[in-house]
Amino acid sequence: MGYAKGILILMSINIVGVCGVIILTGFTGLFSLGHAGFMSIGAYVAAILTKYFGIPFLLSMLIGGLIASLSSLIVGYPTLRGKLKGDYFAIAMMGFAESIRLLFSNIYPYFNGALGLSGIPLKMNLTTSLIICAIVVYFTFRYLNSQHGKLLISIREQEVAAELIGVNVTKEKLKSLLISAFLCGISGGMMAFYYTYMTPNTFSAELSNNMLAAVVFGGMGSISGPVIATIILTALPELLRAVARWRLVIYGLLMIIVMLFRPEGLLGNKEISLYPFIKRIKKEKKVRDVTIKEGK
Amino acid sequence: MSLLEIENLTVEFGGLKALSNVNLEVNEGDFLGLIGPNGAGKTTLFNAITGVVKPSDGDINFEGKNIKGMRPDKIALRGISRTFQNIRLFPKMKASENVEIGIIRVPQYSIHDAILGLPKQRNKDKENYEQALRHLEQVGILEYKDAYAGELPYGIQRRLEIARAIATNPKILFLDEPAAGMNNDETKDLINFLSKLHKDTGITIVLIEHHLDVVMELCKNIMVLNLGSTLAYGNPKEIQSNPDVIKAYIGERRQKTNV
Repeated sequence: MGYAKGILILMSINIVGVCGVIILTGFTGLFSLGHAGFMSIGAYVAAILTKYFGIPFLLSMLIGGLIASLSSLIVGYPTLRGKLKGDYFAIAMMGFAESIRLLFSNIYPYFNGALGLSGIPLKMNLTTSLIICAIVVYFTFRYLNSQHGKLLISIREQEVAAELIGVNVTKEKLKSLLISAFLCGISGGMMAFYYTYMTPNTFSAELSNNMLAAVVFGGMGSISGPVIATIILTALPELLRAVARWRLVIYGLLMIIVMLFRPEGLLGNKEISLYPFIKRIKKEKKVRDVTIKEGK
Repeated sequence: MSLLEIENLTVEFGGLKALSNVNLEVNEGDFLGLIGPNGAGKTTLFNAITGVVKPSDGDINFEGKNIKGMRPDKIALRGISRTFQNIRLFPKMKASENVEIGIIRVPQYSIHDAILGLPKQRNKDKENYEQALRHLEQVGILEYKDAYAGELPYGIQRRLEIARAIATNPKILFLDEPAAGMNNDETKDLINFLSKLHKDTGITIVLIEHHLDVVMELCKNIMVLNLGSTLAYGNPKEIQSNPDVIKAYIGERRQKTNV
């Protein structure tokens, strides 16, 4: 049971991080290869605050998220103001994440350099992580389905037109980057309190790639798609443990197959919703009521 | 005072002068046509006014304020709206959402309003949606409200772009070749629609068009650009009989030479 629990916690941690990438990549259309950097900042800040200063873990996770969010301005302001996009933005973010990793590897007081932090109190249990995950998914859903989300989609679809209509493109992009970095920071904090041990290398480029893969795999412009993709991509390596040697091969093949046959991702820009089902049930009930009445 | 005043506007791309010393005055309620051969600088003039390209010299005054060098979104918020020669819709958004973006522009409620789902958000969203439908009806494409913009037929896309531009409630509307690629019937529809729009709302319109019959029928005044500078300005009759314009459009009769 502990094993399954562990996977569920890992899933919810990943979903929180992926929600951040959904906002930035799925809706604003900015590819980022450096979200692990924000997770790293969130994780270290949260862990240090709780371990050395005894601050309650939820509060320190929030502070970690905020600091990750602020740090995104360092890279976001110059790049987004200069209208950097596409591959260029992705590479700038990759450089940011790498420099964070190297920076943390070389700070010894509190950060403990490349040896990493150990003995972080274990705070993340299944209930807490699921609650945080649910709150974050709800938050993302409300944000992206509001006007704010619509403006982000318009920027992704046709930036020039959006700007000439009067949308402050730089400001909206920065807002989405700030929120995205905040969510990744929270995800990092959750990771710290679950693993209880981390080194700067925990937050390597691979982690960023996995999150980006989940969003592309699930569908750009969808929220439920990437969430489902995250669940699959987190569970898959565990399910494939039986065929350990072929694990990565199967993982890679699956990615290629999905991209070949559904280049828009699992769900494209659609959402899975219960609404059609509810509607159908209501309709059937109505029909049944009517037939009962007529039968009398 | 005129709505838009352009003085000695010059735009350079490297060594090429796309526009040199263009002067133009647009009054409120005008319907101005902008014609000229390809490469005359018509679209560049639009781009300079809407802030896409930075003019190297000259002034652009809109409602008495110099808007030269301002950011495009700031200029748009002042009440200048435009459409594009090559359609620029938001293809993966529904037709109604495309128009909604034109209405929203700057978020009308904060992020925490959105997250908490306060009535303020729901009312605003509903209001915008209804207004978007009104604009779609105005241009006569209400039946396409739920279709994705990228999947619409070409003529409808053109109209949708106009609907989106009108939705920003502009003081002046720049239309860049709205009849491009349209057949005769569609063009006639467009002429009727634009003259009705101008009559109903009194909005100031500046129109670039290669279909001269459209320009001649709609516009009160016409400006002819050639090679980046003003060739002629006047009402349609004057333009049609202007020898310079005929020369630029059709060419000169070749002189008989003795060989």
